[in-house]
Amino acid sequence: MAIIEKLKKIDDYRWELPKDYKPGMLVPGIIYATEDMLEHIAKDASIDQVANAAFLPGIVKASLAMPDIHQGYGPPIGAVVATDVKKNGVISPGAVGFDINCGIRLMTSNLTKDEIRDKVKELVDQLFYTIPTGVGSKGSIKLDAKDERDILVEGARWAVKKGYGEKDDLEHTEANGAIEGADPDKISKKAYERGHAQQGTVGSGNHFVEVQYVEEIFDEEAANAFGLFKGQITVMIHSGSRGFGHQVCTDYLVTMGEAVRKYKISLPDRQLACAPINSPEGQDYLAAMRCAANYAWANRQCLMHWSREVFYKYFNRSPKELGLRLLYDVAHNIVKLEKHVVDGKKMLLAVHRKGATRAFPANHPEVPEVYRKIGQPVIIPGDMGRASYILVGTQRAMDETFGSTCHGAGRTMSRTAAIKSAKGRAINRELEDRGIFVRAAGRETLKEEMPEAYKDVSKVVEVVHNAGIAKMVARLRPMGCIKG
Amino acid sequence: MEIRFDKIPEDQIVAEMENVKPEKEEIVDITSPNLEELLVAWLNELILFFDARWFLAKEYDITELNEKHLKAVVKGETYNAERHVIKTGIKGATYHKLEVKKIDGLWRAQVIFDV
Repeated sequence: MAIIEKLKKIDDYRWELPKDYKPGMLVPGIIYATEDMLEHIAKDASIDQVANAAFLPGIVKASLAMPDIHQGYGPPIGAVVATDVKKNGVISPGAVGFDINCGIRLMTSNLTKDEIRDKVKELVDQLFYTIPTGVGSKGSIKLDAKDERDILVEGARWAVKKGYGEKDDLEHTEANGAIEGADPDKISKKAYERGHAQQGTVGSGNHFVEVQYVEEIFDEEAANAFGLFKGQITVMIHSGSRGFGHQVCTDYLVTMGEAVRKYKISLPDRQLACAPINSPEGQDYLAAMRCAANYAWANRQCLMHWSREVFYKYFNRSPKELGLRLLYDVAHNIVKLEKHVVDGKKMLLAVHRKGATRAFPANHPEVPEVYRKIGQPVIIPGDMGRASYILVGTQRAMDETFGSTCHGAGRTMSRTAAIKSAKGRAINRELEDRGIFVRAAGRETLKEEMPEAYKDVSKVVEVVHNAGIAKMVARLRPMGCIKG
Repeated sequence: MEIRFDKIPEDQIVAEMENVKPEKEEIVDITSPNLEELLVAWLNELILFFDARWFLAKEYDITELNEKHLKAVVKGETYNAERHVIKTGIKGATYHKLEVKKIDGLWRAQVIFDV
Protein backbone atom coordinates (compact mmCIF):
# COMPACT_ATOMS: atom_id res chain seq x y z
CA MET A 1 0.00 0.00 0.00
CA ALA A 2 1.40 3.39 -0.93
CA ILE A 3 2.41 5.45 2.07
CA ILE A 4 -0.04 8.20 1.14
CA GLU A 5 -2.96 5.81 1.66
CA LYS A 6 -1.86 5.27 5.25
CA LEU A 7 -2.48 8.93 6.06
CA LYS A 8 -5.74 9.84 7.79
CA LYS A 9 -7.26 13.17 6.90
CA ILE A 10 -7.86 15.35 9.98
CA ASP A 11 -8.94 18.37 7.93
CA ASP A 12 -7.92 20.06 4.65
CA TYR A 13 -4.50 21.00 6.07
CA ARG A 14 -3.70 18.25 8.58
CA TRP A 15 -2.93 14.57 8.01
CA GLU A 16 -2.20 11.93 10.59
CA LEU A 17 0.34 9.15 10.12
CA PRO A 18 -1.01 6.59 12.61
CA LYS A 19 1.22 5.17 15.30
CA ASP A 20 0.75 1.66 13.93
CA TYR A 21 2.30 2.62 10.58
CA LYS A 22 5.64 1.30 11.84
CA PRO A 23 6.18 -0.77 14.99
CA GLY A 24 8.30 1.28 17.37
CA MET A 25 6.64 4.66 16.78
CA LEU A 26 5.91 6.19 20.17
CA VAL A 27 3.50 8.82 18.87
CA PRO A 28 1.68 9.42 15.56
CA GLY A 29 2.93 11.79 12.90
CA ILE A 30 1.05 14.91 11.85
CA ILE A 31 1.76 16.51 8.49
CA TYR A 32 0.53 19.99 7.61
CA ALA A 33 -0.21 20.01 3.88
CA THR A 34 -2.94 20.09 1.25
CA GLU A 35 -3.91 16.90 -0.56
CA ASP A 36 -2.16 18.15 -3.72
CA MET A 37 1.05 18.76 -1.82
CA LEU A 38 1.00 15.26 -0.32
CA GLU A 39 1.28 13.74 -3.79
CA HIS A 40 4.58 15.51 -4.18
CA ILE A 41 5.75 14.96 -0.59
CA ALA A 42 5.18 11.22 -1.00
CA LYS A 43 7.69 11.08 -3.87
CA ASP A 44 10.67 11.15 -1.51
CA ALA A 45 11.25 9.40 1.83
CA SER A 46 10.10 12.30 3.99
CA ILE A 47 6.84 10.74 5.26
CA ASP A 48 8.76 7.64 6.32
CA GLN A 49 11.21 9.95 8.07
CA VAL A 50 8.29 11.52 10.00
CA ALA A 51 7.60 7.99 11.26
CA ASN A 52 11.28 7.44 12.11
CA ALA A 53 11.40 10.62 14.20
CA ALA A 54 8.48 9.23 16.23
CA PHE A 55 10.91 6.58 17.61
CA LEU A 56 12.91 9.20 19.56
CA PRO A 57 12.53 8.33 23.28
CA GLY A 58 10.50 10.85 25.25
CA ILE A 59 8.79 12.35 22.17
CA VAL A 60 5.60 14.17 23.16
CA LYS A 61 2.27 14.39 21.32
CA ALA A 62 3.35 13.83 17.69
CA SER A 63 6.19 13.87 15.19
CA LEU A 64 5.25 17.05 13.33
CA ALA A 65 5.96 18.03 9.73
CA MET A 66 5.44 21.44 8.17
CA PRO A 67 4.20 21.89 4.55
CA ASP A 68 7.74 22.57 3.28
CA ILE A 69 8.79 19.09 4.43
CA HIS A 70 11.38 17.32 2.29
CA GLN A 71 13.79 14.46 2.74
CA GLY A 72 16.65 15.05 5.16
CA TYR A 73 19.11 12.91 7.09
CA GLY A 74 17.31 11.36 10.05
CA PRO A 75 14.14 13.44 10.52
CA PRO A 76 12.92 15.29 7.42
CA ILE A 77 13.61 18.97 6.89
CA GLY A 78 10.49 20.73 8.10
CA ALA A 79 10.27 18.64 11.29
CA VAL A 80 9.30 19.64 14.81
CA VAL A 81 10.10 17.10 17.52
CA ALA A 82 9.55 17.86 21.22
CA THR A 83 10.82 15.55 23.95
CA ASP A 84 10.03 15.54 27.65
CA VAL A 85 13.08 16.72 29.59
CA LYS A 86 11.90 15.25 32.90
CA LYS A 87 10.91 11.85 31.55
CA ASN A 88 14.25 10.86 30.06
CA GLY A 89 13.54 12.52 26.74
CA VAL A 90 16.41 12.62 24.28
CA ILE A 91 18.24 15.32 22.41
CA SER A 92 19.26 14.54 18.82
CA PRO A 93 21.75 16.48 16.65
CA GLY A 94 20.09 14.97 13.56
CA ALA A 95 16.79 16.60 14.59
CA VAL A 96 18.51 20.00 14.56
CA GLY A 97 20.47 19.59 11.35
CA PHE A 98 24.05 20.20 10.29
CA ASP A 99 23.75 23.96 9.94
CA ILE A 100 22.94 24.79 13.56
CA ASN A 101 20.93 28.03 13.81
CA CYS A 102 20.63 28.40 10.11
CA GLY A 103 18.19 31.27 10.20
CA ILE A 104 16.89 34.41 8.69
CA ARG A 105 16.70 38.11 9.45
CA LEU A 106 14.94 41.00 7.81
CA MET A 107 16.10 44.60 7.83
CA THR A 108 13.55 47.27 6.91
CA SER A 109 14.25 50.78 5.57
CA ASN A 110 12.71 54.15 4.80
CA LEU A 111 13.48 53.63 1.09
CA THR A 112 10.82 52.80 -1.46
CA LYS A 113 10.85 50.63 -4.55
CA ASP A 114 10.42 53.63 -6.87
CA GLU A 115 13.45 55.38 -5.37
CA ILE A 116 15.84 52.51 -6.01
CA ARG A 117 14.41 50.79 -9.10
CA ASP A 118 17.23 52.03 -11.37
CA LYS A 119 19.93 51.48 -8.79
CA VAL A 120 19.36 47.85 -7.85
CA LYS A 121 21.98 46.44 -10.21
CA GLU A 122 24.72 48.67 -8.80
CA LEU A 123 23.55 48.09 -5.26
CA VAL A 124 23.67 44.31 -5.73
CA ASP A 125 27.19 44.61 -7.20
CA GLN A 126 28.28 46.62 -4.15
CA LEU A 127 26.80 44.03 -1.78
CA PHE A 128 28.55 41.28 -3.75
CA TYR A 129 31.96 43.01 -3.55
CA THR A 130 31.59 43.81 0.16
CA ILE A 131 30.08 40.66 1.65
CA PRO A 132 32.06 37.40 1.40
CA THR A 133 30.03 34.66 -0.31
CA GLY A 134 30.70 31.21 -1.69
CA VAL A 135 32.75 28.11 -0.99
CA GLY A 136 36.25 28.86 0.26
CA SER A 137 35.55 32.56 0.91
CA LYS A 138 37.23 34.07 3.95
CA GLY A 139 35.70 36.71 6.15
CA SER A 140 37.43 39.97 6.96
CA ILE A 141 36.98 39.37 10.70
CA LYS A 142 40.12 38.10 12.38
CA LEU A 143 39.32 36.25 15.57
CA ASP A 144 41.98 35.94 18.26
CA ALA A 145 41.85 33.11 20.81
CA LYS A 146 39.71 35.17 23.21
CA ASP A 147 37.27 36.28 20.51
CA GLU A 148 36.89 32.67 19.34
CA ARG A 149 35.52 31.73 22.77
CA ASP A 150 33.68 34.98 23.54
CA ILE A 151 31.68 34.80 20.33
CA LEU A 152 30.32 31.39 21.35
CA VAL A 153 28.93 32.77 24.61
CA GLU A 154 27.98 36.29 23.55
CA GLY A 155 26.66 35.67 20.00
CA ALA A 156 25.29 38.80 18.34
CA ARG A 157 26.20 40.74 21.51
CA TRP A 158 29.85 40.08 20.67
CA ALA A 159 29.32 41.49 17.17
CA VAL A 160 27.63 44.66 18.48
CA LYS A 161 30.38 45.09 21.11
CA LYS A 162 32.95 44.97 18.30
CA GLY A 163 31.10 47.65 16.34
CA TYR A 164 29.12 45.45 13.95
CA GLY A 165 25.69 46.85 14.68
CA GLU A 166 23.55 48.64 17.21
CA LYS A 167 22.20 47.71 20.63
CA ASP A 168 18.63 47.84 19.33
CA ASP A 169 19.45 45.00 16.95
CA LEU A 170 19.80 42.62 19.90
CA GLU A 171 16.30 43.30 21.19
CA HIS A 172 15.00 42.32 17.77
CA THR A 173 16.80 38.97 17.65
CA GLU A 174 15.51 35.65 18.96
CA ALA A 175 17.07 35.00 22.39
CA ASN A 176 18.50 38.54 22.13
CA GLY A 177 21.15 37.07 19.86
CA ALA A 178 22.77 34.83 22.48
CA ILE A 179 21.28 31.73 24.04
CA GLU A 180 22.37 31.02 27.61
CA GLY A 181 24.23 27.88 28.62
CA ALA A 182 26.82 27.80 25.84
CA ASP A 183 30.08 26.19 26.95
CA PRO A 184 33.16 26.78 24.74
CA ASP A 185 34.95 23.88 26.47
CA LYS A 186 32.55 21.48 24.77
CA ILE A 187 33.86 22.46 21.32
CA SER A 188 36.49 20.40 19.49
CA LYS A 189 39.72 21.80 18.08
CA LYS A 190 38.42 20.91 14.63
CA ALA A 191 35.30 23.05 15.10
CA TYR A 192 37.39 26.01 16.29
CA GLU A 193 39.57 25.53 13.23
CA ARG A 194 36.60 25.53 10.82
CA GLY A 195 35.02 28.52 12.52
CA HIS A 196 38.19 30.60 12.66
CA ALA A 197 37.96 32.38 9.30
CA GLN A 198 34.26 31.91 8.51
CA GLN A 199 32.67 34.44 10.86
CA GLY A 200 31.00 37.13 8.77
CA THR A 201 30.53 35.04 5.61
CA VAL A 202 27.33 34.08 3.80
CA GLY A 203 28.53 30.62 2.72
CA SER A 204 27.18 28.58 -0.16
CA GLY A 205 24.07 26.58 -1.01
CA ASN A 206 20.80 28.40 -0.47
CA HIS A 207 22.24 31.19 1.69
CA PHE A 208 21.86 34.74 0.46
CA VAL A 209 21.49 38.46 0.98
CA GLU A 210 18.47 39.77 -0.93
CA VAL A 211 17.08 43.23 -1.68
CA GLN A 212 13.28 43.15 -1.79
CA TYR A 213 10.20 45.35 -1.64
CA VAL A 214 6.93 44.95 0.24
CA GLU A 215 4.41 44.07 -2.45
CA GLU A 216 1.33 43.33 -0.40
CA ILE A 217 0.12 43.83 3.15
CA PHE A 218 -2.39 41.29 4.48
CA ASP A 219 -2.62 42.41 8.09
CA GLU A 220 -2.45 46.18 8.58
CA GLU A 221 -2.27 46.10 12.36
CA ALA A 222 0.64 43.62 12.46
CA ALA A 223 2.39 45.36 9.54
CA ASN A 224 2.20 48.67 11.43
CA ALA A 225 3.61 47.07 14.56
CA PHE A 226 6.44 45.55 12.49
CA GLY A 227 7.11 48.88 10.71
CA LEU A 228 6.21 47.51 7.27
CA PHE A 229 4.52 49.50 4.49
CA LYS A 230 3.68 48.85 0.84
CA GLY A 231 6.55 49.62 -1.56
CA GLN A 232 9.14 49.61 1.25
CA ILE A 233 12.64 48.28 0.57
CA THR A 234 13.80 45.44 2.80
CA VAL A 235 16.97 43.34 2.99
CA MET A 236 16.73 39.66 3.88
CA ILE A 237 19.74 37.71 5.16
CA HIS A 238 19.83 33.91 5.23
CA SER A 239 22.87 32.18 6.70
CA GLY A 240 23.92 30.00 9.61
CA SER A 241 26.86 28.82 11.69
CA ARG A 242 28.93 27.86 8.63
CA GLY A 243 31.63 25.17 8.97
CA PHE A 244 31.68 25.70 12.74
CA GLY A 245 28.13 24.40 13.23
CA HIS A 246 28.67 21.57 10.77
CA GLN A 247 31.69 20.39 12.69
CA VAL A 248 29.78 20.55 16.00
CA CYS A 249 27.07 18.36 14.43
CA THR A 250 29.66 15.99 12.91
CA ASP A 251 31.52 15.67 16.24
CA TYR A 252 28.40 15.03 18.28
CA LEU A 253 26.98 12.50 15.80
CA VAL A 254 30.00 10.39 16.75
CA THR A 255 29.35 10.98 20.49
CA MET A 256 25.67 10.16 20.04
CA GLY A 257 26.47 7.03 18.03
CA GLU A 258 28.29 5.75 21.10
CA ALA A 259 25.53 6.99 23.42
CA VAL A 260 22.91 5.02 21.48
CA ARG A 261 24.90 1.84 22.19
CA LYS A 262 25.52 2.85 25.82
CA TYR A 263 21.89 3.68 26.61
CA LYS A 264 20.55 0.84 24.42
CA ILE A 265 18.34 3.11 22.32
CA SER A 266 16.79 1.45 19.30
CA LEU A 267 16.46 3.66 16.20
CA PRO A 268 15.54 3.00 12.56
CA ASP A 269 18.17 5.42 11.17
CA ARG A 270 21.68 6.03 12.48
CA GLN A 271 21.35 9.72 11.66
CA LEU A 272 18.72 9.97 14.45
CA ALA A 273 21.45 9.20 17.02
CA CYS A 274 20.62 10.79 20.36
CA ALA A 275 21.15 10.68 24.10
CA PRO A 276 18.94 11.49 27.09
CA ILE A 277 19.02 15.26 27.60
CA ASN A 278 20.05 14.79 31.19
CA SER A 279 22.94 12.45 30.36
CA PRO A 280 26.50 13.83 30.15
CA GLU A 281 26.42 13.32 26.35
CA GLY A 282 23.09 15.14 26.04
CA GLN A 283 24.23 18.04 28.20
CA ASP A 284 27.50 18.34 26.29
CA TYR A 285 25.71 18.49 22.93
CA LEU A 286 23.23 21.06 24.26
CA ALA A 287 26.08 23.30 25.47
CA ALA A 288 27.96 22.88 22.16
CA MET A 289 24.84 23.41 20.04
CA ARG A 290 24.25 26.68 21.91
CA CYS A 291 27.80 27.78 21.04
CA ALA A 292 27.06 27.17 17.36
CA ALA A 293 23.71 28.96 17.63
CA ASN A 294 25.50 32.00 19.07
CA TYR A 295 28.17 31.84 16.36
CA ALA A 296 25.34 32.02 13.79
CA TRP A 297 23.63 35.00 15.45
CA ALA A 298 26.96 36.85 15.42
CA ASN A 299 27.38 35.90 11.76
CA ARG A 300 24.01 37.28 10.62
CA GLN A 301 24.64 40.40 12.72
CA CYS A 302 27.94 41.05 10.90
CA LEU A 303 26.36 40.38 7.50
CA MET A 304 23.61 42.89 8.27
CA HIS A 305 26.15 45.45 9.47
CA TRP A 306 28.02 45.31 6.14
CA SER A 307 24.74 45.47 4.21
CA ARG A 308 23.94 48.64 6.15
CA GLU A 309 27.36 50.09 5.33
CA VAL A 310 26.85 49.41 1.62
CA PHE A 311 23.53 51.28 1.75
CA TYR A 312 25.00 54.25 3.70
CA LYS A 313 27.88 54.55 1.26
CA TYR A 314 25.90 53.98 -1.91
CA PHE A 315 23.05 56.39 -1.10
CA ASN A 316 25.30 58.80 0.77
CA ARG A 317 22.57 59.40 3.32
CA SER A 318 22.58 59.35 7.10
CA PRO A 319 21.53 56.29 9.10
CA LYS A 320 18.53 58.26 10.33
CA GLU A 321 17.36 59.07 6.82
CA LEU A 322 17.72 55.48 5.59
CA GLY A 323 16.22 54.00 8.78
CA LEU A 324 17.82 50.58 8.35
CA ARG A 325 16.26 48.72 11.25
CA LEU A 326 16.29 45.03 12.12
CA LEU A 327 12.71 43.78 12.09
CA TYR A 328 13.59 40.37 13.52
CA ASP A 329 16.04 37.48 13.36
CA VAL A 330 14.79 33.95 13.83
CA ALA A 331 16.46 30.51 13.86
CA HIS A 332 15.10 27.61 11.84
CA ASN A 333 17.55 24.81 12.83
CA ILE A 334 17.79 24.63 16.60
CA VAL A 335 16.82 22.81 19.79
CA LYS A 336 15.60 24.86 22.74
CA LEU A 337 14.32 24.07 26.20
CA GLU A 338 10.85 25.61 26.36
CA LYS A 339 7.79 25.39 28.57
CA HIS A 340 4.63 24.22 26.82
CA VAL A 341 1.21 23.03 27.90
CA VAL A 342 0.47 19.49 26.73
CA ASP A 343 -2.90 17.93 27.59
CA GLY A 344 -3.44 20.64 30.20
CA LYS A 345 -0.08 20.00 31.88
CA LYS A 346 2.86 22.42 31.91
CA MET A 347 5.95 20.62 30.65
CA LEU A 348 9.59 21.44 30.05
CA LEU A 349 10.37 20.23 26.54
CA ALA A 350 13.39 20.06 24.26
CA VAL A 351 11.81 21.47 21.11
CA HIS A 352 13.83 20.49 18.04
CA ARG A 353 13.06 22.66 15.02
CA LYS A 354 14.75 21.36 11.89
CA GLY A 355 13.67 23.56 9.02
CA ALA A 356 10.90 25.03 11.15
CA THR A 357 10.49 28.51 12.59
CA ARG A 358 9.48 29.52 16.08
CA ALA A 359 6.09 31.29 15.91
CA PHE A 360 5.21 32.48 19.41
CA PRO A 361 1.92 34.34 19.95
CA ALA A 362 1.10 37.72 21.44
CA ASN A 363 1.85 38.12 25.14
CA HIS A 364 4.54 35.45 25.21
CA PRO A 365 7.44 36.72 27.38
CA GLU A 366 10.01 35.75 24.72
CA VAL A 367 8.44 37.99 22.10
CA PRO A 368 10.26 41.37 22.07
CA GLU A 369 8.34 43.99 23.99
CA VAL A 370 7.68 46.13 20.89
CA TYR A 371 5.83 43.22 19.27
CA ARG A 372 4.35 41.64 22.37
CA LYS A 373 0.79 42.80 21.73
CA ILE A 374 0.88 41.41 18.18
CA GLY A 375 3.04 38.28 18.33
CA GLN A 376 6.48 37.22 17.12
CA PRO A 377 7.46 38.10 13.55
CA VAL A 378 8.04 34.98 11.45
CA ILE A 379 10.24 35.37 8.38
CA ILE A 380 9.76 32.88 5.54
CA PRO A 381 12.15 33.12 2.59
CA GLY A 382 11.10 31.85 -0.83
CA ASP A 383 13.19 31.45 -3.95
CA MET A 384 15.05 34.28 -5.67
CA GLY A 385 12.44 34.71 -8.41
CA ARG A 386 9.08 34.67 -6.67
CA ALA A 387 8.37 35.86 -3.12
CA SER A 388 9.11 35.78 0.58
CA TYR A 389 6.68 36.35 3.45
CA ILE A 390 6.38 37.93 6.85
CA LEU A 391 3.96 36.19 9.17
CA VAL A 392 3.08 36.46 12.83
CA GLY A 393 3.01 33.73 15.49
CA THR A 394 -0.31 32.50 16.90
CA GLN A 395 -1.80 30.83 19.95
CA ARG A 396 -2.85 27.95 17.73
CA ALA A 397 0.82 27.29 16.89
CA MET A 398 1.50 27.27 20.63
CA ASP A 399 -1.32 24.78 21.21
CA GLU A 400 -0.58 22.49 18.27
CA THR A 401 3.02 22.72 17.10
CA PHE A 402 4.97 23.80 20.18
CA GLY A 403 4.92 27.35 18.80
CA SER A 404 6.35 26.43 15.40
CA THR A 405 5.58 26.92 11.73
CA CYS A 406 7.17 26.40 8.29
CA HIS A 407 10.59 27.81 7.32
CA GLY A 408 10.66 28.27 3.55
CA ALA A 409 9.70 26.87 0.21
CA GLY A 410 11.47 23.51 0.25
CA ARG A 411 13.17 22.07 -2.81
CA THR A 412 11.35 20.18 -5.54
CA MET A 413 14.51 19.32 -7.47
CA SER A 414 17.84 18.10 -6.17
CA ARG A 415 20.82 20.32 -6.92
CA THR A 416 22.05 17.90 -9.58
CA ALA A 417 18.61 17.69 -11.21
CA ALA A 418 18.36 21.51 -11.22
CA ILE A 419 21.76 21.87 -12.94
CA LYS A 420 20.76 19.31 -15.56
CA SER A 421 17.37 20.86 -16.19
CA ALA A 422 18.85 24.38 -16.52
CA LYS A 423 21.57 23.32 -18.96
CA GLY A 424 22.13 25.95 -21.62
CA ARG A 425 20.03 28.56 -19.82
CA ALA A 426 21.33 31.85 -18.50
CA ILE A 427 19.39 32.09 -15.23
CA ASN A 428 20.82 35.53 -14.43
CA ARG A 429 19.53 36.94 -17.73
CA GLU A 430 16.13 35.32 -17.32
CA LEU A 431 15.81 36.91 -13.88
CA GLU A 432 17.13 40.24 -15.16
CA ASP A 433 14.31 40.26 -17.72
CA ARG A 434 11.96 40.12 -14.74
CA GLY A 435 13.79 43.00 -13.03
CA ILE A 436 15.76 40.83 -10.57
CA PHE A 437 19.55 41.24 -10.49
CA VAL A 438 21.53 38.31 -9.13
CA ARG A 439 25.20 37.64 -8.48
CA ALA A 440 26.66 34.31 -7.33
CA ALA A 441 30.15 33.21 -6.39
CA GLY A 442 29.77 29.60 -7.56
CA ARG A 443 29.63 28.62 -11.25
CA GLU A 444 26.52 26.48 -10.93
CA THR A 445 24.84 28.22 -7.98
CA LEU A 446 22.25 30.10 -10.02
CA LYS A 447 21.18 26.89 -11.76
CA GLU A 448 20.99 25.00 -8.46
CA GLU A 449 19.01 27.83 -6.93
CA MET A 450 16.74 28.71 -9.86
CA PRO A 451 13.12 29.37 -8.86
CA GLU A 452 11.79 26.16 -10.48
CA ALA A 453 14.04 24.11 -8.17
CA TYR A 454 11.79 25.18 -5.28
CA LYS A 455 8.16 24.71 -4.31
CA ASP A 456 6.05 27.83 -4.58
CA VAL A 457 6.47 29.42 -1.15
CA SER A 458 3.04 31.08 -1.48
CA LYS A 459 1.39 27.64 -1.35
CA VAL A 460 3.42 26.65 1.71
CA VAL A 461 2.53 29.88 3.50
CA GLU A 462 -1.13 29.48 2.54
CA VAL A 463 -1.22 26.15 4.38
CA VAL A 464 0.23 27.47 7.64
CA HIS A 465 -2.04 30.53 7.41
CA ASN A 466 -5.18 28.46 6.79
CA ALA A 467 -4.16 25.92 9.43
CA GLY A 468 -3.71 28.86 11.82
CA ILE A 469 -0.13 28.05 12.88
CA ALA A 470 1.01 31.56 11.75
CA LYS A 471 -0.85 34.39 10.04
CA MET A 472 0.22 36.22 6.89
CA VAL A 473 1.29 39.82 7.38
CA ALA A 474 3.10 40.82 4.17
CA ARG A 475 4.50 39.51 0.91
CA LEU A 476 7.93 40.62 -0.29
CA ARG A 477 9.18 40.50 -3.90
CA PRO A 478 12.86 40.07 -4.78
CA MET A 479 14.69 42.84 -6.68
CA GLY A 480 18.27 41.63 -6.34
CA CYS A 481 20.20 38.89 -4.63
CA ILE A 482 23.73 37.75 -3.85
CA LYS A 483 24.38 34.05 -3.38
CA GLY A 484 27.26 31.78 -2.46
CA MET B 1 42.53 -4.87 4.12
CA GLU B 2 42.93 -4.58 0.39
CA ILE B 3 41.47 -1.62 -1.40
CA ARG B 4 40.40 -1.96 -5.00
CA PHE B 5 38.11 0.17 -7.05
CA ASP B 6 36.04 -1.19 -9.90
CA LYS B 7 35.46 2.33 -11.06
CA ILE B 8 37.04 5.63 -10.15
CA PRO B 9 34.24 8.24 -10.04
CA GLU B 10 34.37 10.40 -13.13
CA ASP B 11 32.57 13.31 -11.52
CA GLN B 12 34.89 15.25 -9.28
CA ILE B 13 32.82 16.58 -6.45
CA VAL B 14 34.72 19.31 -4.62
CA ALA B 15 36.99 20.81 -7.28
CA GLU B 16 38.43 20.17 -10.72
CA MET B 17 41.60 18.23 -9.96
CA GLU B 18 43.69 18.78 -13.11
CA ASN B 19 45.46 21.84 -11.76
CA VAL B 20 45.89 20.63 -8.19
CA LYS B 21 49.54 19.76 -7.42
CA PRO B 22 50.47 17.18 -4.77
CA GLU B 23 52.94 19.53 -3.09
CA LYS B 24 51.73 19.61 0.53
CA GLU B 25 51.05 16.80 2.97
CA GLU B 26 48.42 16.17 5.62
CA ILE B 27 48.38 13.13 7.89
CA VAL B 28 45.17 11.31 8.83
CA ASP B 29 45.14 8.96 11.81
CA ILE B 30 41.64 7.96 12.93
CA THR B 31 39.90 5.26 14.92
CA SER B 32 36.18 4.37 14.78
CA PRO B 33 34.00 1.63 16.30
CA ASN B 34 33.34 -0.06 12.92
CA LEU B 35 34.09 0.08 9.21
CA GLU B 36 31.08 2.21 8.23
CA GLU B 37 31.83 4.87 10.82
CA LEU B 38 35.50 4.74 9.88
CA LEU B 39 34.57 5.63 6.29
CA VAL B 40 32.49 8.62 7.46
CA ALA B 41 35.29 9.77 9.79
CA TRP B 42 37.84 9.53 6.94
CA LEU B 43 35.68 11.58 4.58
CA ASN B 44 34.98 14.13 7.32
CA GLU B 45 38.75 14.57 7.79
CA LEU B 46 39.08 15.44 4.09
CA ILE B 47 36.14 17.85 4.34
CA LEU B 48 37.79 19.53 7.32
CA PHE B 49 41.05 19.92 5.38
CA PHE B 50 39.34 21.98 2.73
CA ASP B 51 36.82 23.84 4.87
CA ALA B 52 39.31 24.84 7.58
CA ARG B 53 42.66 24.86 5.77
CA TRP B 54 41.70 25.35 2.09
CA PHE B 55 43.63 22.18 1.37
CA LEU B 56 42.57 20.37 -1.81
CA ALA B 57 43.45 16.68 -1.50
CA LYS B 58 44.67 14.93 -4.65
CA GLU B 59 46.71 11.84 -3.77
CA TYR B 60 45.97 9.39 -0.98
CA ASP B 61 48.43 6.90 0.43
CA ILE B 62 46.63 4.72 2.97
CA THR B 63 49.42 3.21 5.03
CA GLU B 64 47.44 1.40 7.71
CA LEU B 65 43.90 0.10 7.49
CA ASN B 66 41.72 -2.32 9.38
CA GLU B 67 38.04 -2.37 10.38
CA LYS B 68 38.58 0.28 13.05
CA HIS B 69 41.67 2.24 12.17
CA LEU B 70 43.00 4.21 9.24
CA LYS B 71 46.28 6.01 8.74
CA ALA B 72 47.03 7.89 5.55
CA VAL B 73 49.26 10.49 3.97
CA VAL B 74 47.26 12.87 1.81
CA LYS B 75 48.99 15.10 -0.73
CA GLY B 76 47.50 18.17 -2.34
CA GLU B 77 47.64 21.92 -2.55
CA THR B 78 46.23 25.01 -0.87
CA TYR B 79 43.27 26.45 -2.80
CA ASN B 80 44.21 29.27 -5.13
CA ALA B 81 41.24 31.09 -6.67
CA GLU B 82 43.23 31.94 -9.79
CA ARG B 83 44.12 28.37 -10.68
CA HIS B 84 41.50 26.13 -9.06
CA VAL B 85 37.85 25.64 -9.90
CA ILE B 86 35.57 24.79 -6.99
CA LYS B 87 32.53 22.73 -7.86
CA THR B 88 30.54 22.03 -4.69
CA GLY B 89 30.97 22.97 -1.06
CA ILE B 90 30.71 19.67 0.82
CA LYS B 91 29.85 20.34 4.43
CA GLY B 92 29.72 16.88 5.95
CA ALA B 93 29.53 13.12 5.33
CA THR B 94 26.36 11.72 6.88
CA TYR B 95 25.36 8.34 8.34
CA HIS B 96 22.13 8.45 6.36
CA LYS B 97 21.72 5.27 4.25
CA LEU B 98 25.37 4.54 4.89
CA GLU B 99 26.54 1.20 3.47
CA VAL B 100 29.86 -0.57 3.07
CA LYS B 101 29.66 -4.01 1.43
CA LYS B 102 32.01 -6.51 -0.15
CA ILE B 103 30.57 -7.88 -3.39
CA ASP B 104 32.53 -10.39 -5.48
CA GLY B 105 35.78 -9.39 -3.85
CA LEU B 106 35.23 -5.67 -4.43
CA TRP B 107 34.16 -3.09 -1.90
CA ARG B 108 31.15 -0.97 -2.56
CA ALA B 109 30.25 2.01 -0.38
CA GLN B 110 27.35 4.41 -0.32
CA VAL B 111 27.70 7.73 1.48
CA ILE B 112 25.40 10.73 1.34
CA PHE B 113 27.04 14.14 1.74
CA ASP B 114 25.49 17.28 3.11
CA VAL B 115 26.10 20.09 0.63
